[in-house]
Amino acid sequence: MKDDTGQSTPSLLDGRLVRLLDGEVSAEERAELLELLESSPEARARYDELRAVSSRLSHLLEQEATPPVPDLAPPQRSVVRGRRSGARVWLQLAAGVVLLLAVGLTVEPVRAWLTTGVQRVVELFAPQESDPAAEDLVTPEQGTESPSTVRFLPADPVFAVEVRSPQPDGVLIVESVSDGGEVTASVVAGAGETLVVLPSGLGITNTAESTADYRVSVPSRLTSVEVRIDGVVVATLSPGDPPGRWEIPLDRP
Amino acid sequence: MSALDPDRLYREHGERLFRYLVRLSGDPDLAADVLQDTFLRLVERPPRRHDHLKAWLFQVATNRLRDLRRKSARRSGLLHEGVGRGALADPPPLPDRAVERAESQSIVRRALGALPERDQAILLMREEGFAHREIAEAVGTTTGSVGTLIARALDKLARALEGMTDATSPEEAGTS
Repeated sequence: MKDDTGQSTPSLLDGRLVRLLDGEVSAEERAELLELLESSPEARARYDELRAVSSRLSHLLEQEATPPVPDLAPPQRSVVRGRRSGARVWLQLAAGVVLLLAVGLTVEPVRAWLTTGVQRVVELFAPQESDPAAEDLVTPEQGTESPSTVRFLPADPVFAVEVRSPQPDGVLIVESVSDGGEVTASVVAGAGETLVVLPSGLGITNTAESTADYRVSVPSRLTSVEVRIDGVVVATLSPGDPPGRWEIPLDRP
Repeated sequence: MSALDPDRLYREHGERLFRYLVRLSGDPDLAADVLQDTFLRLVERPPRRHDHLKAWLFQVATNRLRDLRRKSARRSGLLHEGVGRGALADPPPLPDRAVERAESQSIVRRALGALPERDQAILLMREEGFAHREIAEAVGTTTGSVGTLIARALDKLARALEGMTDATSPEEAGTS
């Protein structure tokens, strides 16, 4: 389709015509477009075409019977739903450690890291006994340690947090803590994401559809924490200079 | 930060969001699950900004639906062919005028199913009365480009409907 004014490409004119249909134009633009529809049969035809399809869609959808909205009482639902069972997580993490050991022992730098640190490094939480009634009341903000938490001593003052995929939403919170020398990482909200201890730091296995939040507490003695999402460095933090807290959106790069 | 009232938001947007999800998925049960997940997410992990909550709800719901569809497709090993997801459950018998309604439903379902997911979402949000700014917020684009995206989606829909009409009886073609 051509535009008589010569000022708009067809797609731009289409966009303007839809805005006119939807009442999204200013009074000035509306007058301008109505004038164009008067003077240009092609623009008029295009406008009518868009309006006809639009009306047909509305008509067809109106004929659909939508079932009644379910009564969900959303605020009363348990927030623990996204958590995985402790036994399952424990098995997954144990398998991960075995795999890490098996692979790592064949690679010299990893073997060195493992042999110097493995006895004191990786501490994975066993599933804890929980009261189902109390569990329903647990919220992520309360910060109770769950099976989706790992704690370990970093082997190197330079640390990396690797997030596998960018997400449409969610945040990675990194905070430095002065006491203790451990890294504590947890999935604050989400379902299905996993944390993996890497020789160089921490791996977060998520997907592009994840909408989870993560919190990583690092000792302030670390000189550098590099955050990578999908292999791209998005932040380099200095936990001890001064100690701080960073919120890194995961909808990148 | 303004107060977030999930009950109020559910009353304000629940019905509209559910209808959108039913139309987008063709599956009321799946739509109900996604609706539930969306409001659960609102409670568990509310957005940092509260000024575009409607768009946020629809965005989260659309993402969640996509996620569940992929998981379902992986589990079943089936790729949807635009036949409609209502096939997951046996439909009840269709008496009287329900048959006519079901035919219309099938046409619009198949036509929409032929469109990319984003186009479906844009058209259905527009049907729900979204302003272009809200659509832009929900699908992650600029307000200025929404008109053009709608026009393109309508063109694709017109072609799809034309194909459906060609494949149906003359009587049915005349009903629109």
